[in-house]
Amino acid sequence: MINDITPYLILSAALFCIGLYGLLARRSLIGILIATELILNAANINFLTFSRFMDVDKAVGQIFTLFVIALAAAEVAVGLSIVLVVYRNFNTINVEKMDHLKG
Amino acid sequence: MNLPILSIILLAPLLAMALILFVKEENSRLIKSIALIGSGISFLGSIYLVLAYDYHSAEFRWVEQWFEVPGWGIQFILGVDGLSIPLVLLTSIIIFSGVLVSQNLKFRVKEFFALLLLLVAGAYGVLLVLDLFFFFLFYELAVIPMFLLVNIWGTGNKTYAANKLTLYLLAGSGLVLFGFFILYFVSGLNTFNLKDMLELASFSPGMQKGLFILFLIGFGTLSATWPFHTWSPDGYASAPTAASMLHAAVLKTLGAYGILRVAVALFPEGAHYWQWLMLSFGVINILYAALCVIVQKDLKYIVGYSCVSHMGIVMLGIGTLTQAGLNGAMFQMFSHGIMTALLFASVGYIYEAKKTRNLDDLKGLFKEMPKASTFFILAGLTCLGLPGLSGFVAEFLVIYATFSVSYVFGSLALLGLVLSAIYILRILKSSFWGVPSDKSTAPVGVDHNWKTALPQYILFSFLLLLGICPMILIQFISQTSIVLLRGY
Amino acid sequence: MWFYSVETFLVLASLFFFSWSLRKEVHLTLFHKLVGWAGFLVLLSALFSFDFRGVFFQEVYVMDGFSQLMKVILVLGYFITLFLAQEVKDVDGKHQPEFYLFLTTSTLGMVVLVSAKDLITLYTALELASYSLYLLIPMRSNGKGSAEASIKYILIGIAASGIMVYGFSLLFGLTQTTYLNEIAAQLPLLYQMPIFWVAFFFSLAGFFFKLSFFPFHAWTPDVYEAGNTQVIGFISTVSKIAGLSVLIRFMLLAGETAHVLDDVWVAIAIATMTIGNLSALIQKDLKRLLAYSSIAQAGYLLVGVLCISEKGISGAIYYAAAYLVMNLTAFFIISQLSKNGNNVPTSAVKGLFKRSPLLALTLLISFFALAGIPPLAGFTGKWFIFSAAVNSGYNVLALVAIFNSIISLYYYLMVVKDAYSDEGIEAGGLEPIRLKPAYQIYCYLSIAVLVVTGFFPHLFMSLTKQSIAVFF
Repeated sequence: MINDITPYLILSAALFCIGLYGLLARRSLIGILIATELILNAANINFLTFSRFMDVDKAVGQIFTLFVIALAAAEVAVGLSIVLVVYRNFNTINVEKMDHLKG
Repeated sequence: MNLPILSIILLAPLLAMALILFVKEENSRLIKSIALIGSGISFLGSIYLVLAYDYHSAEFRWVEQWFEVPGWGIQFILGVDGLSIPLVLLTSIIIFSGVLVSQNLKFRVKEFFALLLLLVAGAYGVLLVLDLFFFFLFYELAVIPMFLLVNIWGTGNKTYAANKLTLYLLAGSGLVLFGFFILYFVSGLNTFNLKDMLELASFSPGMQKGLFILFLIGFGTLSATWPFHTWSPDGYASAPTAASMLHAAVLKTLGAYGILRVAVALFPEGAHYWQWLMLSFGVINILYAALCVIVQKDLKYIVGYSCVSHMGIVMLGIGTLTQAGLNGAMFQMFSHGIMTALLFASVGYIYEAKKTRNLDDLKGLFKEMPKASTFFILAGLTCLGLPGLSGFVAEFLVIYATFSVSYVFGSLALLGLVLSAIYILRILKSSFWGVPSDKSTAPVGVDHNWKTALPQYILFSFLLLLGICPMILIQFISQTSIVLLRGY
Repeated sequence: MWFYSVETFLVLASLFFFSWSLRKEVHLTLFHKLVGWAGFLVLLSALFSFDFRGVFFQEVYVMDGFSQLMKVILVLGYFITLFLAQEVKDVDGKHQPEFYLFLTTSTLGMVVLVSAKDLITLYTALELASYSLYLLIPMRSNGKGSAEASIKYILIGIAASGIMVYGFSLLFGLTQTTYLNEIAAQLPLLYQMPIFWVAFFFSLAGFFFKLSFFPFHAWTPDVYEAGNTQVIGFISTVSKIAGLSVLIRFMLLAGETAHVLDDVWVAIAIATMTIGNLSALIQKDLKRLLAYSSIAQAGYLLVGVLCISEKGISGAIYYAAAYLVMNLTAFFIISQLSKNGNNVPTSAVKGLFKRSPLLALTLLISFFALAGIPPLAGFTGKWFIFSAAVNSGYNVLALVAIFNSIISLYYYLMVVKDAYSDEGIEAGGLEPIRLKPAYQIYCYLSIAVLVVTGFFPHLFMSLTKQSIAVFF
């Protein structure tokens, strides 16, 4: 493994930015959920990196990562069930079509 | 006798209001009687205060302390001195006669009297408490019942008038609130207790000037000081009679009371700095409002603007910062209160009888309804300062004091009095004593009997009494005005 | 002894609702009676555990005066919501146990949130609370509106929490710890680093979303309009207060050093209040009006918290508790006004005094309390908050807040005036509204609470002061 902290941090920052872009720009609901997963995984990489390279209790970063993975899974479960409800109502998962309510 | 007399005066209208809320709407006689008794108790209480107060000292008497919020410097503390006692008496007289005036109300009686009593409880609260938190609490408490009263029982453009009145007054009180917070912070005493502040606090000149103008404008809005007076004519014209009486007579006076009690008492240097502004506001009020009256055709608007004009005399008196001026201002607060209440009561009665307030339609009223017109005429004569009635004493004192400070302002004020004479006499001549017009479609009016005239008699008797023996009132306020001015 | 804490009872309540949701046939009448009692038991446990003190699970979970007081407030909100939602009209019968299940798990999440002292606990609790709320919005059986609002809610919500976790990760890297107090202790060293600011604001994103501060407030009107009224009452009060508690805990831990962030807090507070109040002036739907009004109220709460003085924070807690009662009562009135749970335009309030004088009086008192009119609790709370602001030197902020308060008076007064006037009502449009006896008692109680705590604030204020005394 690379012994320098910087590449990992750049990787996670890049993932975060890609995820953020996806969150804002994608039209499909599933695409947005995937982008959110990217953001969460960027955070995970951060935790693990800090856990490896910095002077912390090694377990903490990894535990936080496990929690985030579990909660991300729960989040996706909730999100997908709501996507189903939306699909039943609108017959589409294109976000731009859902503008009946005033902003 | 160690009765907590001030709490009784404050609680009587509140308890009456609570009782009224439980009475059924159909039982209007009971509701009106409860209101009468509630206001009567306060009336008796305030008469006791007047008789038992030792006016040679200007201390706070009957001080009661109930509870406090520790750490915030808030206490529920009541107390009166020579400045508040006459105003408490004024409030009780007005609410008593206001309740009598509203005896013929048929529409939603329960809520009307409940709101009226809440309004007067707010007024009593402001006069009786010595802690700034509760002062402000009662001050704002008095604004909301007015909103509902005008909106539900009002006439004419009532929604607009109610909105304007409420928002204007609340904006003014927002400034006052801000001022209170700064006062708390700057006085360094960690308390909102006004009594302690009066005794102990001292402020730097810069702070005094800033705070004084803040309170002048904030309280001035309630006093209908030009240019923040526009809520007043619309509001009073649209309000039901008893509400106009109470608001014009009492709540406007609360604005001037606030200026005296808080601003003038605490900030002598600030007052001197802004003296020219107070004098100008006073004179502008007098002249501008008087000019506005001359073009009015609606009787209630006439009374509304004349009320604004007379508050100018109060502001002028305060602005002179002399003992005579302050005495005159306080006298005018009382006299103007009774006079305006009498004016509104008469107009209310005339409107009920004739269903119109337009001067053209009311030509020849004196022949039709002599008693009702007489009351209006007598109040109008007080307005223009006829010797023998209380208006003369107040105006004389204030103008004398103004001349001692500045010839220019004095002359302008005198001009204002001439204008008020012009408008009153013009109204009386063209309308009341005029020839009845054929084009009028108003119904024939029924004149007073002793029952409906009772409140008017009560009010007029005070005007006459104070006109003939003004010393009864002046001896009250003399000592207090000396104390108020001790920093000058 | 520790068994009888509110967390345990909330878990038991969720298990209870979960077991009901597994049934094929739900006997609604019996169920509705039990719902109220479940909420009441949870409230009792919160009151009982008010005096618990201690640190658990290696210091990630703390029970101190502040957390237990906030738990009582939150559970009170939960209980009132359950009490008023006993017969929720726009959720299908077979989904009702899940409805209450999610309310309970959300409260559980929030209760853990106020006791959390560590980033992991904070995140988990926040997610538990949020997911339950995301699931509650689409349960309203009203078609398109609720689906769209629920997707907006969840998407903005998970975006906010994703950003928050990334912020937590950066914070973890900077401070090498996940304990809040240790992070707060290192703040003076970190202020110079730009990355700290990034981490800090990302971490706050989640809470700004919950509290609907600017700039994360845009979801509020749509979600409030489209969600079930009782749920929105819950979201607007309980969830905001939970978010506020975390903010307060952080401010208390950071102490005087957090004053470096003053400008930002002041800017957010002013923006939130102003946007909320100005937007509310033009609203025609009662729930949207209350949505914008609650955005503004969150702004006032922030004014109290940013002073970081004993006065400011105890005033903010007082106002939060008062706000709970006022807002829940306002939403209760809306739910009584609506037929079958449909949305209520502002004109539907006309003539309310004839249809139900008690409801009109409750509307008057709760709206006046929201507007800050004496002698109600809203006025006293605002007095405490604004005077604390002036006391700490934020004069301009206090002035802006006072004037915002005055602007807000306009829209509250309009609704009250409509309720009490009798113009513009079509003949025959006035059916009387009958309130159940339990609801009538609730009306009287809420009126009494708002008036009494407004006029005699010393009882509750000494409680709030005591709860945060340990920090000063």
